[in-house]
Amino acid sequence: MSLGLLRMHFKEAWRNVLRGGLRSALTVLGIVIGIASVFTILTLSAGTTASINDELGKLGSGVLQIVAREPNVHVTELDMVVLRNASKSVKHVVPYKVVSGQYSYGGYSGRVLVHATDHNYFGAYKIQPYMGRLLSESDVRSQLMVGVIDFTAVEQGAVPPGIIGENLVVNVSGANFSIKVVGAVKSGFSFGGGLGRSPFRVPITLYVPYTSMQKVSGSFAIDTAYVYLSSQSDVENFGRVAVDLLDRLHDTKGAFEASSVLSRLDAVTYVLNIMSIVLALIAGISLVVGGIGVMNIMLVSVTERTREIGIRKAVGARRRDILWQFMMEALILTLSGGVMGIALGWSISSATSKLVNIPMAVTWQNLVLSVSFAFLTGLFFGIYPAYRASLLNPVDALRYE
Amino acid sequence: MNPTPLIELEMATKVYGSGESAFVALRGVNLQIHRGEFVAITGRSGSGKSTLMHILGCLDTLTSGIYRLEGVDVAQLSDDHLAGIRNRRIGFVFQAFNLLPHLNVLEQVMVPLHYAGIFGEKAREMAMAALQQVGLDHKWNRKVTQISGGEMQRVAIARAIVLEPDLLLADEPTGNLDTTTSEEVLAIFDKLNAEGSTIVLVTHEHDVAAHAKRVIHLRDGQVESEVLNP
Repeated sequence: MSLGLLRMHFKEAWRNVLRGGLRSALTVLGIVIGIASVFTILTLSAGTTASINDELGKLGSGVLQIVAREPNVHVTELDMVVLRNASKSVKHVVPYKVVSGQYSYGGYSGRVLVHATDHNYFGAYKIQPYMGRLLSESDVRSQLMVGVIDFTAVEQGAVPPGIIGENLVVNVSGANFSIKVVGAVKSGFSFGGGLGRSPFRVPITLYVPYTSMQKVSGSFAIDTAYVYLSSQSDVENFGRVAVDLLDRLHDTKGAFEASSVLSRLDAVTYVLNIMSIVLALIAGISLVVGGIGVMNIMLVSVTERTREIGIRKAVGARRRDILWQFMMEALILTLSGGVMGIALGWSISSATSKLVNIPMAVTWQNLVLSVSFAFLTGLFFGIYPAYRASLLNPVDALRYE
Repeated sequence: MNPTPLIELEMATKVYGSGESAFVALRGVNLQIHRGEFVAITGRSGSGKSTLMHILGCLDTLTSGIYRLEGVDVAQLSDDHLAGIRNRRIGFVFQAFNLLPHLNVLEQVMVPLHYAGIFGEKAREMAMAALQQVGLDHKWNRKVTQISGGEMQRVAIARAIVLEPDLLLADEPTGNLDTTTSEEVLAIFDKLNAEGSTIVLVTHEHDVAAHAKRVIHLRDGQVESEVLNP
C-alpha cells in the first residue's frame, strides 16, 4: 500500500464520514461510550492500585513475618533476643498477637481486637500518635495496663471522643480487665479508615503491651514475630536462618514459618489487578456493542455504494483498494470515537474520583490501551463489511440499482 | 502473416445461471479486432452485445471458450492482474456515465490514476490533459451535478482515456443523450480513433454504428453478419 493511495483512501473516507452526518455521529457515539467506560475503569483502578501499593510498600518493605504454626509452640523472650542478635541487619524484633474480645465503656460496647505487641511496633510501621501518646518502652517493661486505640473507632462512633485518658473494660475469654487509653493513632491503612462512618459493626482496634496482657490472661502467648531488617534483600536469607534457629531452640522441625510481608502484599496487588481487568472487560462489553454499530453501518454503506464499488473496479481498483477504502472508514469512525471517548472518560473519572474520594491515575499505558481498543474494534468490526465489498463481482456491482 | 490481434475470441460462450433457468448470452462467438480499428457491435437488446462488452472489458469471465488480449489468455490471470488491465489497458464509457457521486470533474478523471499509483501534481497534469482532449478543462472544478449529460459523458471519456489505454470500450455511450450532444461525443470517438485508439462501441442505432469502420451484428448470442463501412 503506497502512501499516496493510503492518503487518498483517508481523504475519501473522511469525506464520507462527514457526509454521513447524524448517522456517523450516532455510530461514533456508541464507540465514545464504550471507550469512555473502558478508560474510566482503567484510570480509576490504576489510581486505586497505585495508592494501595504505595501504602503497602511503606509497611512491608524489609519486614519478615515469623509465625509459630504448632499450637503448643510460642515465640518466647529468649527467641526474640536470639533473633535480635542473629544478624547485624536486624533492627527490631516485634512480638505480636491478636486476640478478639469484648469492650465496654459507659454506654458503649462491642467487639475489640486486642493487638498485643511492644513499643517498636509503631516505629516499624511509621505510625505517628494522633492524640495522646504511643506505647513506650517503660510501659512494656513495667507491664502497665495501658492501651492505644485506633481513632477509626471514634470516627465510627464505637467509642466517644473523650475516651482518651479513660479506662476501657476489656473482656477476653471470660477475664475482665481495665485498660487506660493513653493515646490514639490513625491506622496506616487509609483504605480501611477512609470509609468513614460504617453501617457495619466493625471491631475497634486496641494496641497494648504484650507483657501486660500475659500478666492478666493466658490467651496472649505470642505466636508471631515481625523481624525488621535493614533492607528487603535481607528478608529471604534471614528467613531461612531464623526458622532454623528457632527450630533448634525449641527442638522442633518445621514448627515456624517465615515469609516476606512484601511478597504477601504482592498477592494483594495481584488480586487488585485481576479485579481491574475483570471490570475493564465488563466495560468492554459496551465497546463491543459500539463495534456492532460500526459493523452495521458499514454493511449498510457497502450495500448503498455497491454501484460505486462496481465503477471503481471497472476503472482499475483491486480487491485490496476496495478493502482499504471501507476499512479506513470504519477506522476513522472508531478512532475518532476513541479520542472523544478518552476525553469523556477522563472527565468522568476525575469527577468520580473527587465525588467518592478514589484516586485516579491517567497513565500512558491507559491512553495507549484505550486507543488500541478503539483501533482493534474498528479492525475487527470493519473487516467483514470491507471484505464483502472487495469480493463484489464488477459486473454485478455495476448492474446494481 | 498478420500481427497478433489485440482481441481474439474463440468459441466464446457465456451462460448465466444453471439448470432450467440457465440463459445463454453468448454462444460460440469468434472474433478478432486489431489495433487501430473502430468496431461497432449492434444487435437488439438481449442479443448479447452488453455481455460481450463486459467480457472484452475483463469485467466478467467466459463460461467456455477463450479470450486472448494481445495473445494472452485472460482466464489465466489473477484478480489483481485483471484489475491492472482494466486500469491501464482498457477504458470504459457507459451509457449511464457511471461517474462517482461527490467527486468534482477533475477528481473523477484522477481516480484511475490513483489506482495506477500516480498522485499529486503529475496526476493533476495528466487529468487536465485528458479533460482538454474532450474540451472540458475549463470546468475541472465543477461538481458532477452542475454539468449537463453530454458533459458528464465527456468526463467519462476523459476518465477512460487518461491512462492511454490500448482499447476503448463504449457501451451505448449516446443512449442517454440527445442528437446534438450525441454527435459531439461521437466526434470525440472519431478523433481518438484517428489518433490511433482502438475503439469498440456497442449500439443499436444505425447512425451511431455508421461512425465505425466495421459493424458486427449479433443475434441471439451469435455473430449474424459483419459489414465493412465504406
